[in-house]
Amino acid sequence: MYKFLLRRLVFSIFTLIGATIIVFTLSRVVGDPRLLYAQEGGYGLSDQAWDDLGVMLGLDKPLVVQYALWVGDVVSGDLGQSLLGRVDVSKLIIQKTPNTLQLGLVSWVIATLIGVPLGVLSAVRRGSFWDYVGRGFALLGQAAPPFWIGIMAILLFAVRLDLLPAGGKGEGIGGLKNFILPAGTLGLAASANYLRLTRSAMLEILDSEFVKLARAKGVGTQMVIWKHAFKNALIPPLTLSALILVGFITGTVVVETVFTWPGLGRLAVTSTNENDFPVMTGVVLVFALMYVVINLITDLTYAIVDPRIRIG
Amino acid sequence: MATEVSRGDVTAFAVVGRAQQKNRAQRIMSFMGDWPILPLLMLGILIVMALLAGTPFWGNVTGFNPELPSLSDRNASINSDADLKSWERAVARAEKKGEPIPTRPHFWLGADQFGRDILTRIMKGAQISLIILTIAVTVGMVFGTTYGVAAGYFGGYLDEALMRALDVYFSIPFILLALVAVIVFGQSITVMLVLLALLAWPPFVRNVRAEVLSLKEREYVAAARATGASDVWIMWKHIVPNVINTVIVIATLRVGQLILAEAILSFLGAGVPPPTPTWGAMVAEGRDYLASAWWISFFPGVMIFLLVMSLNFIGDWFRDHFDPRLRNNV
Repeated sequence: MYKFLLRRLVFSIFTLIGATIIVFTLSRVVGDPRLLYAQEGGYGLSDQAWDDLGVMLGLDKPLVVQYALWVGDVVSGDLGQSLLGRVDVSKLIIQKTPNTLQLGLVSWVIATLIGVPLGVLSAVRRGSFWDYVGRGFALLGQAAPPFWIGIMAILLFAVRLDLLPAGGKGEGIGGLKNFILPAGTLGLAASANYLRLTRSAMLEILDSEFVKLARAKGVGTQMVIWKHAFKNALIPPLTLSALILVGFITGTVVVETVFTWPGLGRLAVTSTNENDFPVMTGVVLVFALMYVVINLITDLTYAIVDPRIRIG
Repeated sequence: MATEVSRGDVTAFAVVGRAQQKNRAQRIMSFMGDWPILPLLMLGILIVMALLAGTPFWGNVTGFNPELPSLSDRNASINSDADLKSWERAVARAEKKGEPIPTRPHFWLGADQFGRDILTRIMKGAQISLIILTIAVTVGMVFGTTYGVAAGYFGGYLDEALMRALDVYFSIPFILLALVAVIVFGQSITVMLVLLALLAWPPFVRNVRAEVLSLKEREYVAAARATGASDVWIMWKHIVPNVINTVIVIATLRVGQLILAEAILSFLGAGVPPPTPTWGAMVAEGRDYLASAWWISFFPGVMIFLLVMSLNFIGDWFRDHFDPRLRNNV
């Protein structure tokens, strides 16, 4: 198990290095990165300011040294300053991250609570009314564009019925209301995925020899479903959790934009619209880090749940 | 004790044997294939979409220009006629020039905040999506298949390097990569195309590689090699034809995801620049007018939803019928 984890750990480090190289390369693709900081068509820079900017960004040094310096800055937590407002990017990110994490967590709980039980029900009562409900839900959740679902939810619950706030993140207990629409939207597609996977895993297991043996021995239906089948059917949805949480990264970008949620995803979109390159780089790096951490945790839980991984 | 249990087993299996066969048969059927009407319905939706995208071939059906604003028709509601005065002006112009008098245009699905007909814009958007998607999927398919065949066929260090590179690629969330690319290169159809092609290829690699790993051990490959065939020849003549099934199935399933991705990027303002209509951007434009003109956001979203749903459905159906082994992978 340690060998397995060590291998994954080393690999994650390589992944992070790869991600930094991609981001760094993108910033150099246009030729002079100064063009990203001072867009053409702006008020223009004096030659002196242009040269100063070059020295500040370390453009007078060779490319490898530039990369090393940049990585050094990133590791020490210095992600530069935003172009608009001159705020430290790391400060911005630290300020926004908790909001995104909260939203992601609530959505994940919703997705699991809807997707997994409905998947089990759909598999156990195969061909029944509930099965069609589950499958219809899965088809809908996977095909509906999340931003559209979000906007339609605003139209229905905020504009027409005036029950829930249309956006923003409230304070205290009243702020819980603000979670319902964004987390529901974000959780919808994920719960459809969970449902689909739980259903097919459950069907497979319910069809296996040991479940039949248990049934033939006269073990109660509930016991067979929960103790024999469900425990084994849990492994595929568990591995999917990593994918779903990673999918939330894309999801938060969309949902936070729709619901003006003050998180990292919205920060990414606003910085894109404002051409704020340093902020964007910072957000990408944070998301890449999250990706690596999520995968490591999943590998760990996977190894705990499935003994075959521990040995292999 | 042991014999008792095994005798119990035998009877148990005799009883469940028939049930098991039935279950297998059911399982082979597609995810929702038990409803025979559905595949036809989905196919119907696809045909309607194709008809919408084909509008340049049957002329200007709605009588509107998808990109021309008309201020007197701003947020015109569903099933309403176009502004009377502008139509009268158009008639007067036509009479002066001796052209046929136009019929008064009708907003079947309402008009957007610039008075442009939603239906016309949906049709135009369908064309744009169709063009972008066809190119992106084709490029992704060819590149991904080549990558997968190379990794699987040559194996060893090349395989390891190629697969690790793929893992690194996966670690950067696509949407962020796309947003960075839009900052760096600006908005254009070309950037959109490249981004979608970049998104399209990875699923091809993993599945194709897995297939090639087993294909390359077959006798006919060994025979080809013994007769002196080159690697390229073997890959092209003996490996690629055998993975085509898989590739087509993945391509069908991938199109739906690409449509969603394109819509999301357009929605975030990182897609094809305005005034060219795309469905995602149309949904985004209607956001500010939800209270007064919900149809601006509603209909383009419905189109995305219907299209993706029918594509996913047909893709699932293809997979179950042509390549059931992919069930757990795609």
